[in-house]
Amino acid sequence: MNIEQLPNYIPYSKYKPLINGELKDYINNKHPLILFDEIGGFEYDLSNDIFDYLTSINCNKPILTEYIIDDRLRNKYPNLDIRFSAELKNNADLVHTTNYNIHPEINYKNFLCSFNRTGHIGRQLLVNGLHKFGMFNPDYCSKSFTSTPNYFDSFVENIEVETNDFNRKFFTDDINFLNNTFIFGDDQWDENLEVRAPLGTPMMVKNIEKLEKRLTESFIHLVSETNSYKYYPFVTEKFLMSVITRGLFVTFGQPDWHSHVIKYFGFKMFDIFDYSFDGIQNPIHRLVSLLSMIQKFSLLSNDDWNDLYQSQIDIIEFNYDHYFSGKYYEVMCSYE
Amino acid sequence: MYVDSSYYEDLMLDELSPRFNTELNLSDHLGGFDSSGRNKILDSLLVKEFKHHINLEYLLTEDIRETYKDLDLHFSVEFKSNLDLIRYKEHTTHPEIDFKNFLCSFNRSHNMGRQLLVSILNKFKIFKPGYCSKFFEITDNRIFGYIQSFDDMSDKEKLVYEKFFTTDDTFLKTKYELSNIDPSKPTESGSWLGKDYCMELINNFQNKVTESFVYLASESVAEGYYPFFTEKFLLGVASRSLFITYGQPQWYAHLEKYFGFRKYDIFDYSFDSIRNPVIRVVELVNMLNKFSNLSLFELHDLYLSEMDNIEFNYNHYFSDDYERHLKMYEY
Repeated sequence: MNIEQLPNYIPYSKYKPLINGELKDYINNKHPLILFDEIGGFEYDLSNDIFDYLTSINCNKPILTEYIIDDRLRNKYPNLDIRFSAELKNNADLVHTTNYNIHPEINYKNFLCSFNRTGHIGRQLLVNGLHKFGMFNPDYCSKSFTSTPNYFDSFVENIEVETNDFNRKFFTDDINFLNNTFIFGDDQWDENLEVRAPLGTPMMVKNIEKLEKRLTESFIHLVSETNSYKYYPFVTEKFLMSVITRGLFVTFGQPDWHSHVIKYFGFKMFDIFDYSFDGIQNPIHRLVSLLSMIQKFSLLSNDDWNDLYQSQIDIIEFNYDHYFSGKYYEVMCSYE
Repeated sequence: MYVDSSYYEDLMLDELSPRFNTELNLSDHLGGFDSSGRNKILDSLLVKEFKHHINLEYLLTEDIRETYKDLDLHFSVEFKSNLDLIRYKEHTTHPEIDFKNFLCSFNRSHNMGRQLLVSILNKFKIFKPGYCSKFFEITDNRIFGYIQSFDDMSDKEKLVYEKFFTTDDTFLKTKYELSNIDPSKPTESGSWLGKDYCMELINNFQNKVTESFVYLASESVAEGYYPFFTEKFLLGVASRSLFITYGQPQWYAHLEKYFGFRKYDIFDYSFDSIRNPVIRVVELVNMLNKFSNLSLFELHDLYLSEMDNIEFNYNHYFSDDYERHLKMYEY
C-alpha cells in the first residue's frame, strides 16, 4: 500500500488547508477521506479540530484514520462515519521495522534512554522532568530542541485540567539545560530520515541501527510518544524500537496509552512496573507519577537490573514474537 | 490491672491469672493485629472467657469489635491520651524552621517495620547519619526471609521488591545513634514512657526535625494490619514540621477520621491503603524520594505552601481539639 498515492490522502501538511475549506474536492468526490498521522490530537473534551470541521460541513463520507475508535469518540462525533483502518495504521509506521531482526546483546551500562527529536510541549516536559529527576544522561538521552524558561507556565495557563502548583518543582529551570540541545554526535538521529511512511522501511531501520546500542545498554527505554500531552491514545512505531531489540520500555503517552496497546494491539506490559500513572488525565501529573515510579529502579545495580530483566523474559519474547509474527496486525484488524 | 508490653507474654501464658478479677488496662500495641484482624492477646482473653472491663489504646472499628464481642472492650480518650498523646503538651516552642537536610527518621527498637524502613532509606540513599538513627543491627537474611514469607506476593513481586532493600553489610551491622540517651533504660529524670523522657527526647531531636524537610515517623508495629497511634507523629506536629508516617494500612485514614488531623496536599497518600507492609514502605519511600531531587529553596517553598495545614494541626493538638474529636468515637 502506497499511502501517498491514495486519493484523498491528507498528511500533516494538509490539515490546515482542510480546516480552512481549501480541500472541497476531497469532500465532494466519491473516495473516503484518509487522515494520516495524529491529526493534531484530541483535547480534554475529546474534541479535534478536523473532526469539528467535518461535523460542521455535515461530511457523511467514510473517514479513515489511524486512531482506534472507542465508544467515547463515537459518542463525541455521532454524525461522522469515522473508521479505524488497520492497514493504514500498519503501513504508516508499524510495519516498517519487520526487516530488523538482529539486535546487539543486552548489556546494561546505563539506566535509561529516551529519544526526543521534535520539541512539542510533551517532549519538553519529558526531558526537563528527566533532568530534574537526575535521569537525563546525555550519552543515552537526546533532545534536539531548546525550551524557553516560561515553557511550563505557558503550558499550564492553557491546560484544561486542574494542575497542582507544586508539580512545577519537578521540572528543571536550569537555563544551561533548557538552552542546549543534546544530540548523539555522528550517531545523531538523521533529521532527514523521517520514520513515517512516505520515506519508507529502509529509513526506519537505519534510524534504529543508530540507536540500538543505546537501547540494549539501557535498563529502560522511556518512549516519548507523539503529542503525549493530548487526551486520546495515539500509538506510533516508537515503542517498537524496544520490542524488536528485546528491551524494557515505558511510554510517556496520552492517558490510557498502555491499556490501549494491550487491548487493541495485543502487546503485553511488564509486571515489574506500576502503570497506575497511565490513567491520570493531567499530563504533568501523569509524567511526574511515571518518573517517580521509574526513579526507584535507577538506584539499583547492574546485577539487579539484569535480574529484573530476566524476570520479564517471557513478556519480552511474547512481544517480540507478537510483532514479527504479525499477530499484532490481526488484533488490530479485529477493531476496524 | 495495668499490663504493658513487658507483661504480654505473661498474660498469654496465664501467669497473671491470680490478678484477673479486675479491670484490665492494656497499654501499648499488644503486638499488633494480623492480616485477618486477629490479635493474640485479645484471642487469649477470649479463650480465658475474661469478663471484666478492658481498656485499650486501640480505637477499634465495629467489625473488629464484632470479632471480639464476647470481650468488654473500651476505648477512652483519657486512657489513650494520658499514656502517650499528651507527651508534647509542654513543648509549645520549637526552633525556627531552617532546612539543611531532606529527611530525618528515628528508629529505636528493632521491630520488623523499622528494619524495613531503615534498610530502604539506605538503599534510596536518603538515610543520613546525623539526621537518621538506627539503634540496632540487622541481618539482610532476616529482611529477605520476611519478604519471602508473604502469601499475598507473587514470586516475581518478591524478586522485584527485595531489590529495594539494602544489602550493604556495613550499614546493616552499624548502629547509628543521635544522642547520648540510652533508649533501653529510664533516664535520670524518669521512665522512658513518661513525659520527662519525652522532653529530653525532644531536646535532643527537635533540631533534626526543624532542619529537615520531612520527618518520617516510624510507628510501632508498622508491619501490623490495624492502625495504632503513638506520640511519634506529634513530634512533627509540635515542631510545625512536615511529617509522614510509616504505619499500618489506613493509618492516615484513621488519623483524619478519628483524630481530626489533616494530611498535606503535596504528598500522595495512596500508599496508605496498601495492606502489604513491604509494598507499602516501598511506595511510601518512593513517593517521598522524588522530593529529594529538589533544592533546599524549593523544599522551603513547598513547606510554605502547607502552612495552613501545619498551623491547623499545631492548633488542633495544643487546643485539645483532637481530644474532643476523638471523644466522639469512644466506646
